[in-house]
Amino acid sequence: MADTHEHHDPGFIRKYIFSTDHKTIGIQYGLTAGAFLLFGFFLMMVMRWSIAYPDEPLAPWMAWLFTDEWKGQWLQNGLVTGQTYNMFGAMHGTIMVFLGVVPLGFGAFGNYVMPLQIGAPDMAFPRLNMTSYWLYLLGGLVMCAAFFLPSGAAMSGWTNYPPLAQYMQMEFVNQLMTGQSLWLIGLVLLITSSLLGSVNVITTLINLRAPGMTWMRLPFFCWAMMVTAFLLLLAFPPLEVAGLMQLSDRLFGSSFFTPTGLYSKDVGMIEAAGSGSPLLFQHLFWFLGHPEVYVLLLPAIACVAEIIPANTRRPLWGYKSMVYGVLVLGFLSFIVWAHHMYLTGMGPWVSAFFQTTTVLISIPSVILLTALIISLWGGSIRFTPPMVWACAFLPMFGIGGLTGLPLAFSMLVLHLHDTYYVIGHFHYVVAPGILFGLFAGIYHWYPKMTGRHMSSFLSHLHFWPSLVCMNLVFFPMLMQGMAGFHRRWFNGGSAYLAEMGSDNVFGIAVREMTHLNVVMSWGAWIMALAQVPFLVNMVMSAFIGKKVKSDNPWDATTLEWATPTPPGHGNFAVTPSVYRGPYEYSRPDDERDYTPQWEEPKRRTERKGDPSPAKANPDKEVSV
Amino acid sequence: MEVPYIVEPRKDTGLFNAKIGIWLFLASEVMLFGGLFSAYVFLRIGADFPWPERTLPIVPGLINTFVLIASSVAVVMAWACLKLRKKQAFNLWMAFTIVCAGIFMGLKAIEYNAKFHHNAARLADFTIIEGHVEPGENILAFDVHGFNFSARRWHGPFFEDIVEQLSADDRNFELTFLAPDAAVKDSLEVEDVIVSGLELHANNPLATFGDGSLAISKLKFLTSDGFVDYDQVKGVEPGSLDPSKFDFKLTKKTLKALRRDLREARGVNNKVNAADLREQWKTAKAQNPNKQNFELAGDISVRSDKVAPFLRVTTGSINGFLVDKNGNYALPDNDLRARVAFKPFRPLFENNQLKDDTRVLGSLVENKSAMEFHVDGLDFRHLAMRAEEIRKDPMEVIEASWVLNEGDKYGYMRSIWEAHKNWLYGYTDDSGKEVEGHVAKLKAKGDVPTPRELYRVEKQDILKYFRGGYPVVAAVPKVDAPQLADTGGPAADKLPQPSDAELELTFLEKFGVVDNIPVLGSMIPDRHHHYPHLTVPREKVLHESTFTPAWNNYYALYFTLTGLHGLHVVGGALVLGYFWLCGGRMYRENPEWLANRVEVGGLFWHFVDLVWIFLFPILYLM
Repeated sequence: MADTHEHHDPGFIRKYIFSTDHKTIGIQYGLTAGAFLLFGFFLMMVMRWSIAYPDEPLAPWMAWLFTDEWKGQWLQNGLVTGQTYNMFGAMHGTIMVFLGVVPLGFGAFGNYVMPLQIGAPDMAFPRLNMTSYWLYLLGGLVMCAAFFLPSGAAMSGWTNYPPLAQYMQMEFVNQLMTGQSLWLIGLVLLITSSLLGSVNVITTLINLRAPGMTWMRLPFFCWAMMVTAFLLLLAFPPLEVAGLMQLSDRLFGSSFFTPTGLYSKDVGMIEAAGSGSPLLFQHLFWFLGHPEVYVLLLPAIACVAEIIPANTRRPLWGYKSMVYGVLVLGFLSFIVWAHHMYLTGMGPWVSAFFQTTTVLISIPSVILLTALIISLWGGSIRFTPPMVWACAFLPMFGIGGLTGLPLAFSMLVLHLHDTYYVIGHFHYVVAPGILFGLFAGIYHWYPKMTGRHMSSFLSHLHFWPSLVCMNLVFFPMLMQGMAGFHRRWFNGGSAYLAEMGSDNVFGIAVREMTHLNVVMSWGAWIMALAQVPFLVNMVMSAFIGKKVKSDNPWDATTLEWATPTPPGHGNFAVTPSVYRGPYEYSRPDDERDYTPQWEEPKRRTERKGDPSPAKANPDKEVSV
Repeated sequence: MEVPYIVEPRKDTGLFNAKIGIWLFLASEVMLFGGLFSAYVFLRIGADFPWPERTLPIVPGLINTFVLIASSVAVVMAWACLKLRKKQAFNLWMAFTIVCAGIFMGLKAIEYNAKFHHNAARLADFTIIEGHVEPGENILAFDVHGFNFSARRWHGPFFEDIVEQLSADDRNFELTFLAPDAAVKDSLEVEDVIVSGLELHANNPLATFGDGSLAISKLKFLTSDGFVDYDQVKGVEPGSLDPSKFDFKLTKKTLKALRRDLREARGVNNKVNAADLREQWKTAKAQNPNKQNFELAGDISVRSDKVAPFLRVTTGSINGFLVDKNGNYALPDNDLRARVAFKPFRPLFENNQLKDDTRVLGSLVENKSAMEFHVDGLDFRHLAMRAEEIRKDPMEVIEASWVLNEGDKYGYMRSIWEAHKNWLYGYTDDSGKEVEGHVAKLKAKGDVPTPRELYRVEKQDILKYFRGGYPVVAAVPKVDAPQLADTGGPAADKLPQPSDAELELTFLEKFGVVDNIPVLGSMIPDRHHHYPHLTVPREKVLHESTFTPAWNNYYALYFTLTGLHGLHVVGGALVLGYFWLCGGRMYRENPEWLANRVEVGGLFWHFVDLVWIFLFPILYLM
């Protein structure tokens, strides 16, 4: 509250709004990303209406959110038009990826947890950190503000491929004030934001580790953040280039992505210099696009890798393999991008190369997932709220990953490209996979952030319907996709239906599968309802939740639990020292089932000859 | 706790924070420029036009290279001086660095400016004409009784000009909004343009009537049912609006009110129709519980008889207006073209359709729309490339090209081309001596001419040939001189004959930097008229532009790469300038602090220099 501010306080605005404290910025990131996620979810709910009930006016329980004038412009007699569907679809993807999951995983958790885990007082560049958040918010608002423009927001897919994106909304006089242009400008702002964020994270990890925090004593979470930061640092700039080039094409009439002799129904023969290449945009886009997948994924795996040891009371299995695995994963993710482009006519040799690297990258991914699963083995598992989510992450992400394997092969992509199979695959990765991992993270660190536990009952009320609905939504997509449903049908395929007994085999397949649209849509809407307990839980627990009894409520070993609760400015009362690896649970020489990193060893001489069960033996490391 | 290692390096890593930060930042920058360099390679390899090689002035680029290298040395010296605690020397070196940045950007600005004022046109047969285009001479004159504005392709400048000319006539005109029933959302933009056009003219007394508005005698809407009055749009009883209260003047306010009413009406109708559909769906589902939706959809549509009483007249768009009296309206095509941001629109003269798809309701009286070039470059390379693709002899196709035949009204182009061929293949001079051609000279050395030598006539050669530096085959003007004078073109014998001194290239021109710098107009004489004149009708032009990103991908890359690099130079200079001018506090507090900051800034500065080292060869030399 504003009225509690004291004289030595930096003041409400400096403390909560333009704060340079990494924890406040982390929470700002989290709340903003959460708001964007809800918005992106809502866009999808409207889209799902159009898919399930293409001929019925939008249901009043969704339609009331829009004004009559807005509906007059964007709906036709209450029906969602193809154009509106495309706009919502493009913005759903953009919001979920760029404004929702990345800021939540990397911005919120990376910012809040990582400096605590390495024993740092703050990020290395606190003011850059603040700038990073505000640029992110600005970029997001610029993109979304376009919903209120006559042009509407961007409407050519989250990938924004030219020449479709190039000539979309080109009829507007003031090109700067169109959704497509604002999308590109917002993108440049977001990339600048993530550049500042990733420089900050890596510098902090290199230079601000507490005494004794050697590389192999870093929690896996920090390693994952480091790799994520490198991906953002190095993969995003080519997309920035692509964005600037497309902006130049729109504003200055250049032809970077306009081939010679392009003909459009609206414009006729395009009069431009020509000789540009739409394929170039795809290369630049996917050079980011694929590492981006791991930018989404790694923070979620990072959270799960912290939660599983803390709740099985066992060390993380294969910590070093996971660290090397994640490094290899990061490297390989830079050379798989063109598996998104098998059908662009790149040629079989290029396809063969990217097919090989794509198959290779499954190795480190499987190492990570397998290590997490084996970590459960023989543990005395506590099914705390975060652990429930983390456990669900494993099979859900597993389905997402395994359904991706067929898509690695260019032959199979001939059939599966741009079908709902692809949608099902990557949504399994992102929604029940990554989001579950991030939910687990929220439940895990919430006590540290607020000093209160979240309600276990509400957590289960959140978890079970979400788990069921996720599968209701995404599993039928895999089935429809294999039947050939195209991912961009705004009316769920009703244009392709054939009468039973017709020769049109595809039309009959569509007819037989079309009822799944309704199942999926209801799954999505009920899932929206299932998020209500979470929102209630998150808000109410901050005020009436059960208070934590100690600074280390989960009896965990990593440094964030050595701070006061919630951590004040500067994080630690005294600079902590680190004496051992991050996951020393159930050591035989400790009567407790956990040995925190920051506790000074009591019987150092005795322990010398003691064969320690901990995988990462701290004594082997050269202390720095 | 404060963040450590801001000034002092951490013992085990040996680095202070900002140093790690800048290296990471530079890694990201490498990827940024790497992306652009990749785009350069990709687009150059895939180019289907002759890539312009060594087309930029090399000397200023080279000077800039040395300037940047010098500044990089200076920034190291500045840093070293700080380390030695010589603040005065630091100041001098830093000032030198900033001055270098200034020189670099100055040369860049001159180079850019020359490009912005230099035109080129690619003709239908892929001949490329380069030169300066006379502004404002090109006119389309119409006998107008109305305009139809395309909802999809609208450009403001037309409307602004129309309003200006119509209102200058001081005539009342009937304004009829032609609005089809189908809601075209884009047209809201049209209204925006009208509004902004009016706003623009509100301060110009010539452009409007006395009270700053355009009087509209009648305001009607064209719907599928024919013309209707405004009150029907408002959703009130016909005739219940007091006409005196609605003095329909074309003002920003009127249009805003109009737009609001239109939007509201559309919203109301949408709601009414949706309610009707919902009601039908409810009944249909209750009656057919076992049927899927798609089996019912065919029978359900809005029942027009049921909803009709509740509907308002919607007019989704303003598509144009009719003028009650005919009048001449001239479109200064060239001016407009310069203001149109996007190129895919060009005049299609058939149908009186302008380049923004606006249709003029009336007849074209006169078409003087043409590009009046002062040619300083004649380039057949693209044409030659296309000719070779279809296995034709490029020289033969060039001979038959429009610019050397029908288009060459005064015979200038032909004489230049003949002189060029003389230079290429040799000729007999006045005294009967055989002069060996360039091709033969190369052959003697075992070499062949480049496409550039074969198919392109450079600026300095045009200047030379044009005033008779080479003996030319007698160029016979295709039209008699007196007629030429009437059409505005200079007669062949009345050509301005510049003196030798006048034709001496100026310092900057020698370096190829400028032809004419408007801001330096008094220093450098306008030399356009020393170049041959060529009239190119618009319909012959396939693509035209100044030498900006729109001209071709080489220039698009040139501007993007050097523009981004220029921004880095400016950014770096600002940061270094800040250390120079405002570093005193840091220095007094801890000299090492300032030294570290300068080191970091200097690293960035070296990177900027390094990027230029790559840019210079790929854009200027290769």
